[in-house]
Amino acid sequence: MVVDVWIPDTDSRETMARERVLGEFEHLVLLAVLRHPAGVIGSHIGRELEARAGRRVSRGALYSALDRLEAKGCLRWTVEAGVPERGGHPPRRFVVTRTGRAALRVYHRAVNNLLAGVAGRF
Amino acid sequence: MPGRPGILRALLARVLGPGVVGRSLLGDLDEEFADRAAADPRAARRWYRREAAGVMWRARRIRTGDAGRSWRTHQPKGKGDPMLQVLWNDVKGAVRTLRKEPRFTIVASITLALGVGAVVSIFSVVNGVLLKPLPHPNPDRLVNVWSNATGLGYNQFPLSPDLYYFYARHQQVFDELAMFQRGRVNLTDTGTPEVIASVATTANYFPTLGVRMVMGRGYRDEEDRPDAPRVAVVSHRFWTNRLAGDSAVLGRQIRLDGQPTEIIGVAPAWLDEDDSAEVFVPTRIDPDQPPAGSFGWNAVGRLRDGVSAGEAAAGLVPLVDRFKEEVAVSGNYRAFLTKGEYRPVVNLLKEDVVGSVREPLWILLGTVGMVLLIACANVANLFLVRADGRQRELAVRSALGASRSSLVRRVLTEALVLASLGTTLGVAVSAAALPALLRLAPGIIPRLDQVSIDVAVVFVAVVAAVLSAMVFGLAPALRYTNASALGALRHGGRGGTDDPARRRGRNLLVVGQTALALILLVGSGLLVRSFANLMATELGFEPDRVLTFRVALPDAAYPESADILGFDERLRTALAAVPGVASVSAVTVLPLAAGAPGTAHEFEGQPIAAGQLPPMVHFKTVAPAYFETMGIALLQGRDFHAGDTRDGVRHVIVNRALADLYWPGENPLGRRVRLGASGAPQPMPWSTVVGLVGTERQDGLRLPPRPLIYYGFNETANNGTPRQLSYVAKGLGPSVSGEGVRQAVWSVDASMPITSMQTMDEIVDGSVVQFTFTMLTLGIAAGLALALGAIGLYGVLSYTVALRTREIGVRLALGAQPSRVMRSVVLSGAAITAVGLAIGLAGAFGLTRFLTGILYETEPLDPATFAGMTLALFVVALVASLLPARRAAAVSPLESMRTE
Repeated sequence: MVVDVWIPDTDSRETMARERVLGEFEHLVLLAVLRHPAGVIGSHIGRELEARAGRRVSRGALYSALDRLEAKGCLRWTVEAGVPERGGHPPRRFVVTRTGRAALRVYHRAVNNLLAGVAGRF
Repeated sequence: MPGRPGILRALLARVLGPGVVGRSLLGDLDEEFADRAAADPRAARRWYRREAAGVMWRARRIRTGDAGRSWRTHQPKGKGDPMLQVLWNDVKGAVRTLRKEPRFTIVASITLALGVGAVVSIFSVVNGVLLKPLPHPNPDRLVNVWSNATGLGYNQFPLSPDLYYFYARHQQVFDELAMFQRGRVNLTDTGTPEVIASVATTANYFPTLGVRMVMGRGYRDEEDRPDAPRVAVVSHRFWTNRLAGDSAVLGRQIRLDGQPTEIIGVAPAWLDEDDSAEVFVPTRIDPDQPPAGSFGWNAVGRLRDGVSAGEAAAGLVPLVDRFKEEVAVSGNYRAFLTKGEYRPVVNLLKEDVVGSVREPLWILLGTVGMVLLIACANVANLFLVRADGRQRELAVRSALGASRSSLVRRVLTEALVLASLGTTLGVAVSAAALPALLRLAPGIIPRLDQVSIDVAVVFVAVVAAVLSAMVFGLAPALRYTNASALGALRHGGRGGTDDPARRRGRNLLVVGQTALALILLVGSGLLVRSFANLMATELGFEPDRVLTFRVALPDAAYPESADILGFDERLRTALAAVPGVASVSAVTVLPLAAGAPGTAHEFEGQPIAAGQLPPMVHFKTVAPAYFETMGIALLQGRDFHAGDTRDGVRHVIVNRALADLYWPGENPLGRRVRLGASGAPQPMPWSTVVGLVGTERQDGLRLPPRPLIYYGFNETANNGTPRQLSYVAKGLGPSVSGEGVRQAVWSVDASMPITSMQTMDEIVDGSVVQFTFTMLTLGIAAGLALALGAIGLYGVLSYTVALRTREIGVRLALGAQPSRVMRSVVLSGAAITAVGLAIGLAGAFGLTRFLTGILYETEPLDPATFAGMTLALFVVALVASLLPARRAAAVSPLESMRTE
C-alpha cells in the first residue's frame, strides 16, 4: 500500500527563492538521494553517504537534515508497507523534488563559477 | 530480535512517538542493525547504542526547532502552528461539550461570575485608590511634613508658619518645601453667593508639586506679602464651570471674601479632585515675622534625590533643636516643644491620601478572594460529579489511544472555557455594579474618581479566571484520567459507584468551603458587634431633629467684633421665628467633627513651674442655649445668657471630663481658669466656671471624649470673635425646614452663603460611614460565602444519596428504620461540617487580628462571636443536609432495585 502523505508546496517561486540555500551536509544528502531516480529508503541513505563520501554519518544528523530538506521543499517522501526485518515499521521512500533539483543547480553553478581557474591550485 | 538493546529501543520508540515518521525511523535503525549484526553483533550493538542516542538527542531539537514541524504531528490540512491547531481543536471540543450540558454550564458560570465579579469590583477600587500613582510628576518624591507631640498625646498635627520658615531656610533634605492651608472663601460677585474651597499657599507651592499652569502663571514671592495686591490662581474646574473656559480670563477681578482679587493663572485639570480647592491664594504671611506657635498649616515637600521620607524627618530633627534655641524663646513655646517631645513627621503624600483606607480595602480584597475560592470549590464539585458521568467517555477515548496528557488537557480546556465564560460575565456584572458600589462609599474613600475597569483590572480578572480554572479543573482532570479510573470500562462498571477516594475529594472541597465561610462569618460578626458597640456609644448629645448649617462672615462686610455679634443676634432671633423651631444656638465646631482648637490654659491653684508644660485644653465658643439645643445635660450651674458681659466677670462652662481631670471629686463651680500660662508677659484675665455639662463626643465616635472648655460667644469681643459659625436649630416636629432656615438667613444678610446644611443624624451616620461600608461589604461577602457553602454541602450530600440509592434500598428492604437512614445521612453531613468548622476556627483565630484596627471595643477573638457564628453555620449545614436525608429515607426498595 502506498500512502501519499503531505507534499509541500514545491512549485511556488517564493519558496524556491527563500529556501534554496543548502548547507554542506544537506547538499551531500540531497545528492545521495538523487542517485536513486525511483527514490531511496531512509536506511539506505546513510550507508550510501558513508560508502561514497567516506565519512561517518550520525543518523541523528541525517534524519534532521532530511527533515530540514523536506521543510525546504527539496525532498518529499511516501510511506511503504513495513516488513518483518524492520519490526513491521513502515519505511519512507525519499525523492528529490523539482525545487531540490533547482537548488542543486544553483549550488553547482556557484561552485563551478568559483572553481573556474582555481581548480588546479589545490 | 536478539542482541538489540531493548531498553534503549523502547525509550527511543517513546521519544519518537507513534507517528509515521517516528516509526519509519525506528524501522530504519532496526533494519540496519539487523544487517550489521549479521557481520559483527557486538559492533552492531555499539552502533545501535550510539545512533539511537544521537537520534534521541536530535529528535527533541528537530521536533521543536529547525524545520518548525514535529515528526509526530504532521497534519495534512494543518495551517500555521500545529500547537495552536491542537489548542483550537480542544477549545472547539470544550465549547461543544459545554453546550450539550446547558444546566451545568449556566450554574457553574454564574457561580464563577459571582466570585470573579466580587474580586474584580473590589480590585478595581484597590487599583484606582491604592495602586495607581498620584497624577503629579514624580509622585513618589512628594511628602507632607507634619508635627508630632507625643508628650501631649498629639499625633500628627500641622505645622506652624514660624517653624516652616525656619525649616525652609535651613533644611538640606528637600528640593522644595511649600506651606499651605485649606480653607473656604465666600465668592460673592458671580451670581448666588457661594462658599468655595480655597487653599492659601506660599509662592513655591506650584513648583513643589510640579504644577504647570494651563494659562498665566503662579504667584511670585513678592505677591505673598501682607500688603501685596490680591492675586489668585483658579482651578481648572473653576475656570471651566464658573468662567466658561474663557481664554481672556487673566487679569479679571473676582471678589473673594469681599476683596477684589485678580486672576493671574489657571491650574491644570489633574490637580482637581473631589472637594479640592477651587482657588489658590497667597498666604499673605511675612516670612520675616511669621505667626509663632500657630500649628494650623500644612507643608508639602519634594524630597531631594536619594533621601527617603524617614531620612528627611531625621534631617529636620536638629533643626527643631536649633529652633528651640534661636526662635522659640518664650517659656511656653519652648516647654511645648521640649516637654511635648515635639518631632517632625514626614509622610509620603500618597500615604496620607490613602493611608486610612488601605487596611479596610486590602481586607475586603482578601475577603472577596475567599468568596472566589468558595465559588471555585463549588464548581470543582460540580466538575467532579459531572466527571463521574463522563467516566465512560474518557475511558473510551483512552482506549482509542488518547494519551493521559491529552485527556487532562481536554478537561482543563473545558475548565478554562468555563472560567472565561464566568469571568466575562463577572466583569460585566462588576462593570454594572461598580457605580452602585461607589455610591455606597461617598466621600469616605479618596481618589474614587480614579476607579474604573481598566487594563490592570481586566488582567487581574484573566489571572483570576486561569487560577480558578486550575483550582476547579485540575483535580477532576487528574483524578479521572489516572489508570485505575480509566480501568472502569474494563471492569464493566457504570462509573458512579461511591468510590471512597472520590468521596474524599468531594468532602475535602466542602470542608474547605465551610472553613472559609466560617472565617468570613466570624469576621463580619466581629464587625457587626463593633457596629453595635459604636452605635451604643454615649454621644453626649441628642442628634434627633437638629438641623445644622455653616456660615462664614467676610471681613469686608463685618469688620468688627460688634458687627459679628450683631449678625449672630439677629440671625438667632430670625431662626427662632421660623415655624417649628424649638431652640437655636451657634457653635464654632460641631461635635464629631474633630478640630476643636486646643491651647495652653492655667487652672487657678495649680501653678505651672517655670519651664513646665502648661495643660493644653481644647475649647469651643458657643452662643446661649447651645446645650439645650443639642440636648447636652446641664449638670450643675447655669448656661450662658445675654447679660453675661455686663458684670465685668468672664464666664466659662466646662464639661464633666474636664472637671474630673483637673478637679477630681470637687465642685468645679466658681473655680477659675485662664488662657496661657503663668509668667506670660501679659497674663490673660481669669474666667469663672459657672456651669458643668455632660461630655459630648467631640473627635468622633471611636475616640475617647475630650475635656472641653466652652467660652461664651458674647464674651469674645476682646480677643477675636470667630467668623466661622455652625448654627444648630432643634425642631419641634420631625424636622426643621431647610427652606425656612435659608429664608431666615437671607432675611438677615441676602448675600450670605450657606454651606453644609445637614441634620445631626446625618453627621452621626457620616462619622461611621467608612465603618458601615466595610461592614456591609464584608457582610455581603459572608452571606454569599454562607449560601455557596450550604449549596455545596447540599449538592455533595444529594449526590452521595443518589449514588447510594441501591444500598439504602437494600437496607430498607432488610428492615432498617427510615429514621436511622436519615440520621446516617445527616450525621455524615455533620461530620464533614465539623471538620470544616474546626479548620475554619483555626483560620479565623489567625486571621481576625487583621481586623484589630477596624474593630471597636470588640476583641478580635471575641468568644461570643466565634461560638455564635460556628453554631449558626452548623445549623445551616444541618438544614442543608436535611433535604437529601429525607430523600434517602423515602427511597423505595423496589424502585432502587429497578434503577440498575
